[in-house]
Amino acid sequence: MMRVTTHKHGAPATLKVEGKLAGPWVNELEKTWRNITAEDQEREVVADLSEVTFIDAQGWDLLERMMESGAELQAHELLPRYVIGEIKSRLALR
Amino acid sequence: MPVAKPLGPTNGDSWGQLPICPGALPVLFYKRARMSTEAAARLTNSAVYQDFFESSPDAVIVTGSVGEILEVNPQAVQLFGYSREELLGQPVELLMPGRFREAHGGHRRAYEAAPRTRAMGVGLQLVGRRRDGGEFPVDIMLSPVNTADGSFVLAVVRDVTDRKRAEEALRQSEQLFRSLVEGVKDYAICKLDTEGRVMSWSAGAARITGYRAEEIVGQHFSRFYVPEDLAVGAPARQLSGASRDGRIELENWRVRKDGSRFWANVIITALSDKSGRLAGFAAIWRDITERKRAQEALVLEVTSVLLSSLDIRKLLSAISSSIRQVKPHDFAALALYDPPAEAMRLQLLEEHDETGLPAQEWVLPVTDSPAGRVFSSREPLMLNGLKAGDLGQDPLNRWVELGVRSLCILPLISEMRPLGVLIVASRAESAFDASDLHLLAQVANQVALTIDNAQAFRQLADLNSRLAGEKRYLEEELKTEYNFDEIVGESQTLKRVLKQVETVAATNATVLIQGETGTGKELVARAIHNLSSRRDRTFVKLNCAAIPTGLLESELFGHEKGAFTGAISQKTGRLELAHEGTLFLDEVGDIPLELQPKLLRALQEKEFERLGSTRTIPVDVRLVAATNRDLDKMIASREFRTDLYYRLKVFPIRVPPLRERVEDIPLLVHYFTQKYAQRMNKRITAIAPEVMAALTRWTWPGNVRELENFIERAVILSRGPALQAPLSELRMPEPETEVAPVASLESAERDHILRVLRDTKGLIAGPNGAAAKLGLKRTTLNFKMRKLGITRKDI
Repeated sequence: MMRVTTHKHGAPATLKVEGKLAGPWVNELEKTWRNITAEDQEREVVADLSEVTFIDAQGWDLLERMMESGAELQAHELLPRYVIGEIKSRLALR
Repeated sequence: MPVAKPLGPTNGDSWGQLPICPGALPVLFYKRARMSTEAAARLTNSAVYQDFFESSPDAVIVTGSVGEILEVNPQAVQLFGYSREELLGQPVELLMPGRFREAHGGHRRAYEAAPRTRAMGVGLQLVGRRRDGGEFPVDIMLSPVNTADGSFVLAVVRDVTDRKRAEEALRQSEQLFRSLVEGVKDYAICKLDTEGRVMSWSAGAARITGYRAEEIVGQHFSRFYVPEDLAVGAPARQLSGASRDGRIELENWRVRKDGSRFWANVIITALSDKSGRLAGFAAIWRDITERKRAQEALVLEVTSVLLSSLDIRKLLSAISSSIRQVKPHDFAALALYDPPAEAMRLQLLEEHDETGLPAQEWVLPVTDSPAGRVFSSREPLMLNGLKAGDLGQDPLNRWVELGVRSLCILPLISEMRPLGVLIVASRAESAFDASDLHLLAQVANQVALTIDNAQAFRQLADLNSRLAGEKRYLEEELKTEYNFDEIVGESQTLKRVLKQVETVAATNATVLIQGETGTGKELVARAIHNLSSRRDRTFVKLNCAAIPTGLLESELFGHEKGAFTGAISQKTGRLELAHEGTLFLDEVGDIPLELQPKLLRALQEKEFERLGSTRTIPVDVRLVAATNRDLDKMIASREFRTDLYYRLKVFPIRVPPLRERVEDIPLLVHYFTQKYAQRMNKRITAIAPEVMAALTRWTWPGNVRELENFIERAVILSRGPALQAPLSELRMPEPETEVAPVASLESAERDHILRVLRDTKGLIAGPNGAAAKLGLKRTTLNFKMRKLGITRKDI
C-alpha cells in the first residue's frame, strides 16, 4: 500500500510518499508526478520519501527518472536515503 | 276331468272379420248366438276365413253371451287338450282352474256390461287349465263382436309359459344382479343418462357419497366433482372420453354430500342400445382414500428418509430401503448422468458380491441401452420375461445372466432436468405391473429431488469448506510479514532471477525454486503468483518439512471425517484450497518417498481423492516447489522419485546465495534497519561505514534470513541514532558452513549417526545399540535413518 499527498499550490510542488513504492503503486506515483509537470514543465517538484518503507526495481527506476528530470528527492529515513544516494551515484557516473 | 258337451257350430254361426287391435293377435271372429242356421252355414263354409282361423298361431275361442263356447280353432284344441267337439257348447270356465271359475262369472258379466277390446285380467296372472288338469300361464285378449246375428266374444289365448319362464329367469337374474350391486358396499355404482344425470343409485353409492337414491336420481353427476375439476370441465370431458373410447379409468378427488373429499378410483363405461347408439353410462367409483393416504405416507416417509440423507453413501442406503418398502426386488441401482463421459455411471444401491463387478465400473450409454432410452425419452420402461441375451452387450445383461427376469427403469427428473435413471430388477418373471410403475414413479420423483439436493448440498458444502479453509489460511497469512513480494536488491544476479520470474509467471508452468536456506525462495514463489493471472486467487503454502510425515498426506490432500483415528471432522487439503490459485510446496525434498507417487498423480491428472473418500476432486492448481536439498543426489540415493523430479523441474529457478550478490547487502542492511527501527519505535539514522564494511565482508551462510535476524538484533542493541551491530558474532570462522552451509546440520547428523552405527557394527536396539548411545528411542533412530537415507550398505 502506498499513499501520495500532493501540494500543487506551493513553490515548489511537493509529493509526500508513504508506504511501499512497489508494483502498481509505482505507476500511481508516476501518474501524479506527470500530472504536475504536464501543467508546467519548469515546475519545481520535491518528493518526500521519508515514510517510504520499501522500493522495488520499478520504484528505483521511477525515482531515477524523476531525479533526472529535475525533481528533488528527500528523505530522513535510512532506506530511502540510501536509495536516493545510490541513484545520485549512478547519475553521477553517467 | 271335465267332460265337454258338444255345442257345435252347426246352429247357423258364421265367420266375420274383427277390427285389427293392438297386439297383432289373429282378428278373426266367429259370429254366433242366436244366429240363423244360414248364418252359421255361411260362417262354416267361408273358406277364406276358415284358413285365417285355423292358421292363427294363437288359440282362438269364440264364446256366447253366457260364456258358452261357440267355436275353437285347432290351436285351442291343441293347447287345452280337448277335442273341438268336447269344447263346443261348454262353459268357457272349463278352460280355467276350478278356483277361478266362480269369480269368473262375475268378471264375464262385467265385461258383457261394458264390452271393449282389451286384455283380460290386466295386472293379473291368468292361468289356463288343460284337459289333463295341467295349468299354464296365458295372456288373453278379449274383443266384443256385435253383428246382426247377435253379440259374442272373441278370446285369443296365448300360452306364455316360455315367456313367463324367461321373465322369471330375467327377474331372478336382475334380482341377483341387484342384490350383488346392492351388496357391494365398497363401490358406488350408478347409471347415468347420456347427459350425465343419475338414473340409478346403489347402496354402496349411498354409503360412499352420503346421498340417498331419492335425493340423487335425476341430478347431474357433476355434483360429485371438486371445484378445481369443474372449473376445467372435467365431467363433460370424462363422459366424452368414455363415449369415444368405450371406457375410461382414472383416479381423482370426489366430493361427498357433506362436502368432504375422498380419493376415488373411477371407471365410466359407455352403454349402447341395440342400434349402437349411446344409451347412457355406467359409473363405478371406489373410495381409495385410505390407500392413497398409505401411499402418500409411504412416499412422505421415503422423502423424509431421503431428504435427511445428504451424505451420498447414506443416501444410497436410504433409497434402497425406501424402494424395498414399496416393492420387493433383487437388485436396485442408480445410474446418474456424467456429462464429461456423456454416459450414465451405475451405482448399486446394495452390495451384491454376486455381480462380480465394482459398481463404479458400470457405464451405461445414453443412446443404445434401455436405461439410455428412458433417460433420453424421460418415459419409464418395464421389461418383463427377460431371457439371457435379450439385452445384448448392455451392462444390465449381467443381471439377466444372474437370473433377473423383470426390469423397471424410471427416469430421475428434477426441475425438468434429467439426472439419470432408477433401475429396479427382480428375478420374478413378471414382477412389475402398472400399479408398481405408478408407485415407483413417485419414489423416483422423490429420489431425483433428493439426489439433486444432495448434489447441491455437496457442492455447497465443498464450496463452504473450501472458503472456510481459504479464510483461515488467509487470516494466518495476514499475520505473516510476507504480504508483499519485498525482494530487496539491485544486483544483476538478483535481476536475472527476477527476469526469470517475470518470464515464467505468465505461464502455468510448474516452477522448481532451488537455493540455499534463507535466500528468499518463498518470496520468489509469491512473486511468481503475484505476477500471474492467478493473482486474484489464493497463494497456498505448505512447508513439507514442518509437518510430521504422517500428517503431511492429510494436510496436502485433506481427509473425510473418520478417515483415520483422530479425524474428527472433514478437512480440506492445501491442494484443494489452492484450486485456481498457486500451491507453494516448500522443502519439497522432504516429502516422504511413499507420498511422492500420489503427489505426482495429482499433478499429472489434476485430480485427487481426500483420505477416506472415493470421490475424485478435480483441481486446477499451479505448483511452485522449492527445496534447499540437492534433488539430483536424492534421486541417486533413491530418496526422491525421478518422475516427480522431472515433473517439478519444468522451469527451474536458482536463487543465488547472498554471498553471490554482495552488492545488495548495503541496501538490505538499510532496509532491515529501518524496518525494525520503526517496528521498535527507535530512531536510527546512521550506519557507520565500518559496520557496513564488516557486514558486507561476512559470507552470510544463512543468507538474507541470517542478515535480517542479525540486523534485528543490532536494532535491539542500538541505543542511539547509529546502528550498533554485534560484529563480534561475525568473526567466528566456520569453514564447513562456507562449503555447505545448508546441508551441514543434516549431514553432520547423518555422519554422526553413521559413526555410531559403525561403532556398534550396525546394532541399533539394545543397551549397546546405536539408539542407546545416541540417547534416542529405537523407533526414533529408525525414523531418522530413513529420513537421512542411511541404509545397511552405508555402515
